[in-house]
Amino acid sequence: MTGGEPSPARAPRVGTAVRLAGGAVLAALAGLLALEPDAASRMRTAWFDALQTLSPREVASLPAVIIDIDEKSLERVGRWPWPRSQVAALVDSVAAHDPAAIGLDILMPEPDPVSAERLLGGLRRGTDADGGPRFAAFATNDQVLARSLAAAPTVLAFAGMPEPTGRTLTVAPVLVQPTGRATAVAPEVLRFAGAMTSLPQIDHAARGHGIISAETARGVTRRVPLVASVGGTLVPAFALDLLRVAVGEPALRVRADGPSVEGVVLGSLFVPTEPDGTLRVDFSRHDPRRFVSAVDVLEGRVDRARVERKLAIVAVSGLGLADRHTTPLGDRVPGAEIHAQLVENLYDGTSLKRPPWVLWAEIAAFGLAGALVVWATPRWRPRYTLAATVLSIAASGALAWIAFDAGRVLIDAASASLALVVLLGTMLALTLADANHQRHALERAVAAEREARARLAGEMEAARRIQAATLPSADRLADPRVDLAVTMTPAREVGGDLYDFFPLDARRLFVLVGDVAGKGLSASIFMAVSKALVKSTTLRSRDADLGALVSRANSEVSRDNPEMMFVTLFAGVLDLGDGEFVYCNAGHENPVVHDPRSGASRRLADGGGPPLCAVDDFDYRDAATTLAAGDWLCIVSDGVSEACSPGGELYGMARVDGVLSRAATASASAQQVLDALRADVDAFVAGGEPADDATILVLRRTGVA
Amino acid sequence: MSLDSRRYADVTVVAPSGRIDHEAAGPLERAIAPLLAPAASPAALVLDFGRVDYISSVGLRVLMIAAKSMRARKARIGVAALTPTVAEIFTISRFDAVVEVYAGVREALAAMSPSALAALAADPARGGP
Repeated sequence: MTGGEPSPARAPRVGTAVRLAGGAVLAALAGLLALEPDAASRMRTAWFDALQTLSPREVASLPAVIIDIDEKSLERVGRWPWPRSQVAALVDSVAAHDPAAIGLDILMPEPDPVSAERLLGGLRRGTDADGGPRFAAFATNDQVLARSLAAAPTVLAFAGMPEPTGRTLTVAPVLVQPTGRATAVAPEVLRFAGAMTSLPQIDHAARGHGIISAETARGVTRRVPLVASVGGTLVPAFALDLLRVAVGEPALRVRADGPSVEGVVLGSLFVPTEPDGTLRVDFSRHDPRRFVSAVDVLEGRVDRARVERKLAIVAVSGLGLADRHTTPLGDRVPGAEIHAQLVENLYDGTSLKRPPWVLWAEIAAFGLAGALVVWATPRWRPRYTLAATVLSIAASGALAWIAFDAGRVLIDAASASLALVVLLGTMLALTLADANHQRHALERAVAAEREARARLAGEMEAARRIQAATLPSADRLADPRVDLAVTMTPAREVGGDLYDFFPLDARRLFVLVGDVAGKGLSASIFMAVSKALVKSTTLRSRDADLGALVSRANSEVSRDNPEMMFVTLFAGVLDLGDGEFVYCNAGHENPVVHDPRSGASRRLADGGGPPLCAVDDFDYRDAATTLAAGDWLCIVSDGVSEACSPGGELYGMARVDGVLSRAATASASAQQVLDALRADVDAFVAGGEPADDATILVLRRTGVA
Repeated sequence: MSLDSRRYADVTVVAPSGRIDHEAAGPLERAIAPLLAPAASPAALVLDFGRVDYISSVGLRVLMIAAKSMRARKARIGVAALTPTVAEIFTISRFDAVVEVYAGVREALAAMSPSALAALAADPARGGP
C-alpha cells in the first residue's frame, strides 16, 4: 500500500493581511499628498527653500538699480522723513541719469509734514494782512514733488489693505484676455479690499502705479503677485508697472482660463504665472551691486552708466526705516531688493515653475516606490527594504535636484519621501507584529503538542497503573496443593494482557489469561472491565458450566465496546483434589501441559470459540482434561509465542515446549520454570523491543492432598 | 504491506501482502473502510491472504470490524488462501468462527457468487479457464 505523506501544504501566503493593510496606508498617504495638508506643504516649502539655497539664481544682468536712501544719505542730508522738496530733488537727479523708469518705493499718504507752508501756517494768523499772499505764492513741497514726478517716467507704489480706505485708485488698465472658454471670469488673484496710496496730488503726477504687497508665508517671501485685485479692480505689481512704463505700453493684459491665471502679457512679453497670478521668484543672493547711495546721486558722484536705461527704484534702507523681507535663501533684504529681483526675473524671463502635472508625477512615483515597499517588506530582510527605500529617496532627490538646477522646475521629493518613510515604518511594524503573531501561534502549537504528549505519557502511566493494580500477586495464593507463578511484561506502550486466579471454593481454583487486542488506555480499561466482568460472572454462578460462563461474559463485554476491541481469553477451573481441569478457550493461544516424568507435552486445544466480542452471542463450549499430580500447566499470551527475533522469526509454541522439557522437572519450582522461559524469550528477541505484552502463567499441581 | 483490489461481479477481492501487524493494520483498515460502508455495492468481500505472512491481533481486530459490518448488512466476508503461519493463527484464535475461511479465491467465489466465479474465470490475469 503506497501513498506516502501528503505533500505539505504551501506555507500560508506570507503577509497577505500585512500587504492589504500596507496597501490601505499607501492609498491614504497618496491621497494625503494630493490634498497637500499643512504638514506636507511645510515639508515641501522647506525642500524648495533648500533647493534654492543650494542653487541660487546667478545674477546675469542688472536691469534694476536701487537708489538707496541709506544711513550715509540720512547722515548727510538729514533724518527721515525728508521734505518732499528734497525727494523731488532726488527724483530730478535720478532723472538726469536717463533711467528707463523711476519707481518710488515710498508711500506718501499725508501732505508733507515738514513742508515750509505748514511750518509757517501757524505764523500767518499773527502777521499783517500782506504777509499771507507772499507765502501763498510759494509752491508747496508736494507741488514741487508732483512737478518732478510728472517730468520723468515715474511709478508710485501703493499697498494693499484689508479694509476699504476710500482712496481713489489710479492704475493702468489691466485687461483680461480669456483663453479656452470664451466667457471672461474675474481671475482669482490675491484680493485686497482697499489700498494705501499716496496723496492724490502726488499720485496723479506719476505715470504708473503698482502694488508692493507680497505674500509672505511664515515671514518668508517666496511668491510675489504680478496682478492683484483691489476692491475688484485688477492692479499690476510695482515692478511690473515699472517695466510697463519703461517700455511705454499703455496697458497690461492677463491671460486667464476661467478664474485661473496663465500669465501676464506686456506688449510682446508673456510672463507665465501661477494660477493665482503670482510669480515664484527665482531669487539670487543679496547683491550690493544693485544699490547706489542716494546722496551720491544727489551729489553727482555716480557713474551715469549705473542708472542709464535702467529701472531705478528709489527706496529707504536707513537704519530701522526699511521693511525687510526674508528670502527663501535666508537673506534679510530690503523690500526694494525683492522688487529689483522681480524685475530681473521678468527681464531675464526666468522664474521657478511647478506645473500641475508635477504633483501627479510625484504621487505616481510615490505609488510605485510605495508598492515596492508594501510588496517587499514581508518578503525581504528589513535591511534590503530599507536599502531600497533609501535608494528610492536618493533617486527622487537627485531627480528633483537635476530638474531644479537645469529647468528651475520645483519637484517635491521631500513630502513623497517622508510618506515613503512613514509607509516603510508602518510596513516594518506590521510585518514585525505579524511575525510576532506567527511566532506566538507557533509557540502555542508547540506548547499544545508538548502538553498533548505529556497528557499521553500521563495516560500511559495511568494505564500502566490500572493494568498493574488489577493483576493479583501469586503470593496471595498460599495453597500447598498448587505452585503458581505469573508474570506480565508490558510492551513499551501499554498492551492489554490480563490474568487472574482465585479459589472458587475449597477445592477449585479459577485461572484466567487474556489479551485485549488494542493499545493504550482504552485497551487497559477494557482489559480491566473484561476481567472484572468475567470474575463477577464466575463468582455469581460457581457451579455453572464454564462454556456458558464464557458465553455470558462475551455478551456482557460486547454490550459496551465502542472501540470494537476484542479479548482472547483462556479460562480454566482446576479441581485441586482430583486434578480435573475444565477449560474454555476464546481465541487464545493453546496452553501446554507438561508431564515431567515422561517429558511429554500436550496442547489443550479442545472446545472454545473466537475471542470475546468477535462474534456476538457465540455459544462457547468447554472441554475437560486431567492434570496428574506433578503435571505442569503453562499459559502464555501472544507476546511470548509471537515474540520476534532480530531476523523476523517468531518464537512459537515449540520453543515453549523445549524450555518446559528442560526446566519443568519434578523438583523445579513454578518461579524457576517461569524465569527459564522468560530468559529464553529474552535471549531470542536479543534486546529487541517487545511488540506486545508478554504474559506467562506457570502452574504445577503438587499432588499434596 | 501493499494492497491490491479487484472486482469480480458483485464480489470485491482485496489482496494485501506482507505482515499485517501494528503498522499495517491502520492502512488496511482505511483501505477496506469504503467497502464496508452501507452504501458500498459489493455483496461480498474476499480477502486474499495468499501473500500475507503474518497477522497480529491488531490485524485480526480489523478483520473482526469488517466482519461485524458485513454481517450487519447481511453481506458475506471471507478470507482465502491462508499461508501456514496465518492459518495457525486463525486456528488458535478461532477466527474461523469470525470470518469464512476458504482454500483459495476460486473456492471463496464459488461459495459466494456464481457470477463472480464466472468473472474470475474470464479474467486472464488469473489464468482464465
